[in-house]
Amino acid sequence: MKKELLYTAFIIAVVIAGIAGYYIGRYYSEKPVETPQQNSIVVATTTSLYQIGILNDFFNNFNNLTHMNIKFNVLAKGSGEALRLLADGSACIGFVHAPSLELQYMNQGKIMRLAIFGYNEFVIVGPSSDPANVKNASDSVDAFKRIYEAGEKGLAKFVSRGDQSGTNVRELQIWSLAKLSPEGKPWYLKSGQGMAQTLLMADNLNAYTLTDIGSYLNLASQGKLKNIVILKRDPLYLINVYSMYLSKASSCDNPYTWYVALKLSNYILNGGQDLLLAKYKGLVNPVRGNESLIEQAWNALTRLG
Amino acid sequence: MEIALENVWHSYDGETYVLRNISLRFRSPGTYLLIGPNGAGKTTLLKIVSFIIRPSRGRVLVDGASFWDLDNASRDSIRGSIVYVHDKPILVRGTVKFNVELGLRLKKRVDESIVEYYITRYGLKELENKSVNRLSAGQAKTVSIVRALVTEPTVLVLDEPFTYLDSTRSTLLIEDIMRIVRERGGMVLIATHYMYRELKALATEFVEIVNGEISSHAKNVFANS
Amino acid sequence: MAESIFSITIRSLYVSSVASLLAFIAATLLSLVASQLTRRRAEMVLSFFESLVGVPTTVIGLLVYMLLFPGGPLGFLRILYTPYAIIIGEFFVALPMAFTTMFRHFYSLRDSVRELVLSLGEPEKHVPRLLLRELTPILVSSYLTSFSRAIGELGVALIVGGGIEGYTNVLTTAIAIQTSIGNYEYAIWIGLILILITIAITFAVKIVGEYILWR
Repeated sequence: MKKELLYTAFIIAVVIAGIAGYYIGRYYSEKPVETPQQNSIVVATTTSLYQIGILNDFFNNFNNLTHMNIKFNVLAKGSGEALRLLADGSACIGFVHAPSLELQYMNQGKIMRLAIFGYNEFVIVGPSSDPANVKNASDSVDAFKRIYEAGEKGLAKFVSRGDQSGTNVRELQIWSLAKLSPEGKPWYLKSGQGMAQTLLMADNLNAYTLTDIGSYLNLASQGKLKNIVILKRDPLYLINVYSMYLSKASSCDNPYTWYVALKLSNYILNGGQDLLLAKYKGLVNPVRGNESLIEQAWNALTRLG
Repeated sequence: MEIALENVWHSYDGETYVLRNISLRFRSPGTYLLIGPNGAGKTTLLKIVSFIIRPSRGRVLVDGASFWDLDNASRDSIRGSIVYVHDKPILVRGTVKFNVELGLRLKKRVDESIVEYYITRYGLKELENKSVNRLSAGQAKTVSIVRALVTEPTVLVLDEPFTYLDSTRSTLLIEDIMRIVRERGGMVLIATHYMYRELKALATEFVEIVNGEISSHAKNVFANS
Repeated sequence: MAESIFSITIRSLYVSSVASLLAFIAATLLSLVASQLTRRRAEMVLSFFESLVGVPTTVIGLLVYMLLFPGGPLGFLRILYTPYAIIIGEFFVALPMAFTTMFRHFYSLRDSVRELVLSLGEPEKHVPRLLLRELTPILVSSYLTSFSRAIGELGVALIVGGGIEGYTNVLTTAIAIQTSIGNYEYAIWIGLILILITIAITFAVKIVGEYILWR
């Protein structure tokens, strides 16, 4: 009896293995993805652009318009890691939003800016009850001061990314503008994770956090955020600028990569702007028409920290 | 056949000697009983006699020829007539039957009737298709003894064969030992720390080992062989 | 938006099975060599690999990255962010696992099988065949254990694979990336598949070890 059961199990296992083997074989004979592709380029991007879906639209439209049929291999990372990958030459094209870090890498001669193509804003979100009264703050610096005071009184918590991402860099800049150091305070929590996880964490803890508006709206529209709302905007310090970079590492220093990168940046500054206006307004805004203004903002941001 | 040890010393680690200056002579037909406390060196001595261990010093003579100085082919042919049964049985994965047949399989002469005979004789018939990792200590020991018996060796070396064995099986084993010695003119060496009454009558010689040395060596004048 | 769970699963199975197969072969050869050592040296080798089992896969991922990135010693191979890079990284993840699960048995079984063969009055040339027969279930479970370690690891796949959709995205990177963009539901589905695979392997190890091969 037991033996028959085992034989049956064995036969089933063999059949399953056979079917799996067949599919594996078919899958890999249909799609020879295991061979490195000549026309592929590694792109490192901040997670938010990947999450919102802008990059995929960019790449698809670009391929449709140019008929170049390039395979963009997208690595979704924080801005800090993305810039490091560009500097290493592990990725050749990067989409990031951390001006002060960007400037550092540019000064080291590791990367070259191709475009400032979009912007949105960071916002301070927190519990709708707003125990720190952030709503009535004069600007983001004042808002952070209020959160600090409320935190010290045990009334509020703040969740930080703590990962050198664009958002984290900005948050630290505001703290330093406020001349406060929340480091090590019991109410100052570091998630060490992406924006979405950090937002969900803040939502669960009824805590304040700084977020790019795109990530917030994306999650809020899916109904995943129950407790936290947008409390403070600040056009001066909380503008969030997205730029596109090309690595100057020798592994990216070839005419093909440069050609594709320039062509892509050209598309993003033209056709891509229409796409942003049509589909992503509010999430990521096109820079067209405000180029010099946004670049000034970018410059101001590099001096913040 | 005669197996003689000449001034045999043995050490596993090169520091302490578990056997010191042993000289002994075993002749067939004969039954030799090795007695002594645990850790006296009985097992090592038996493994040297069975050509499993090469002694650190001294010679092992087979009918006058030094075993470890022979060429491989001669060694293999001498080994073929001797079987050693471990104190703790070493069984391979598989059924009881497979384990019993193992020696014969390696020799490529499986004789179903002999296998059948011993399996039935030692009460293993009901277990023969059972996996050996589900056996009790006594059953495992029996399997290892039966595995030796089916090869019909001319020299049988048994290390503590009666531990875990019930009295029925012990009696059967003593009968089989007597058969090897008396009917086939073979030789049986038994190490034990426990002396059966039947064993006393059986043995032609007693060797007592304490701390790696022979402490007494006596011919059994009452042996009824 | 995200690619189908089916193709991620197939890719995962493919990458991890190749990596663990290579690790298994290397571990077997290594065991053969190491079993020639004295007991004390063999214990040292074993302890070394046992401590490697605990190294976080992220660390292994970083080391392999340093090896493969364009400025690294093997950068000229241009295999960073390809399935090959994951295979190399997971090879190093699976190797200590495969080695530690098989070597102890290798060593003790070799001695006992040798004793058994000699005690039955058989020449030593029978030892390898019987040893292989005895080792089979251990080798099978060693392979499956290292496979499940490879398929369940994240550090290497994320750092040197990058989780590129349609190319290097495996189950664990898909979970990590979907989690990082807040798509918990999708991540959980992939997690369930991963759990199913691991459970299936555990049962396979048990059945192979205890029923089929021991009979």
